[in-house]
Amino acid sequence: MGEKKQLFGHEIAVLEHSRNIIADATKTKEEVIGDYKNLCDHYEEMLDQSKLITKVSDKLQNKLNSANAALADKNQELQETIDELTKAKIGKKAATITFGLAVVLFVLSEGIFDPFIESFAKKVFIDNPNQAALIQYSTVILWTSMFGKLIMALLLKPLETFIEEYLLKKAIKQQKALKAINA
Amino acid sequence: MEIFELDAKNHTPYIKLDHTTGIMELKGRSTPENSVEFYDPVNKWLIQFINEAVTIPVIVKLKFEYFNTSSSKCILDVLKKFAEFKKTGADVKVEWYYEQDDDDMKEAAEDYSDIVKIPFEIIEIPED
Repeated sequence: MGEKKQLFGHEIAVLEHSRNIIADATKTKEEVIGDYKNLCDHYEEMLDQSKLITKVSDKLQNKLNSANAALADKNQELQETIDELTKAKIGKKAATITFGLAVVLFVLSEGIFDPFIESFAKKVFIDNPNQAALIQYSTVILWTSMFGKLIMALLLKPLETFIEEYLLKKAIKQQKALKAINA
Repeated sequence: MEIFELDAKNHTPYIKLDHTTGIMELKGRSTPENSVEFYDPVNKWLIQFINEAVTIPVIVKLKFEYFNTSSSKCILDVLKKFAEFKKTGADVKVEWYYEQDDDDMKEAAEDYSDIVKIPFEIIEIPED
């Protein structure tokens, strides 16, 4: 063992001393009894130490277990907060995309769909240039345009939900891939 | 003889052994990689302190958050040194501080007080 300190260095020294006594044939009975008493005292001391260390160690293990359980709870809370944050972030992103799409659809409606309806209705009026046809022409333009915009407006919410779900699935996949890399 | 002082690190406690005031402090977390090696200078200082037969009353202040099994043996060895010092007629007492609700550390202190023949005062630190 050399000069290296050991946790039970003193106890090992006592044991070695006791073994040397057994090997020593020159010892008298009284000397052996004295050494035996000494060994008993050391044994008692070591037994007390063992009891103490075992008890204390178990108690501190409990403390460690409690700390681990608290840590696991905190991790769970943290994960839930991260999930909520991710959801909120994705919701915001989906709303932005939907708003962008709504603007595009509105521009398309005003620039392409409405002029198309208008030209179609005009064609009907030119073929039939009377008061009834003019009314019909105006009504068709008005209602078709409004109906188109209504459909667009009604589709916005389901579209936003769809985009949100898609982005969420993508984020979950990314998180799983990250966890697999870290594991 | 000089004051022995060690700063706390992630796995080792703060230690200050002051022969001028008689206050011996060990506080923090004790989970060193090699407890025997870590506590060896402490034991050596204590042997020197005992041999100098200082007459000042000694207060051993212990405030552990956590310690591993090998540290528990080393702490016992340190306390035994103080018990030896007390046998010489010195005035020695231990103050063991524990955080409120930390029953495990309180019970650990009680276990130590059962085995070490020094007056033990187990003191609860109230939460802020």
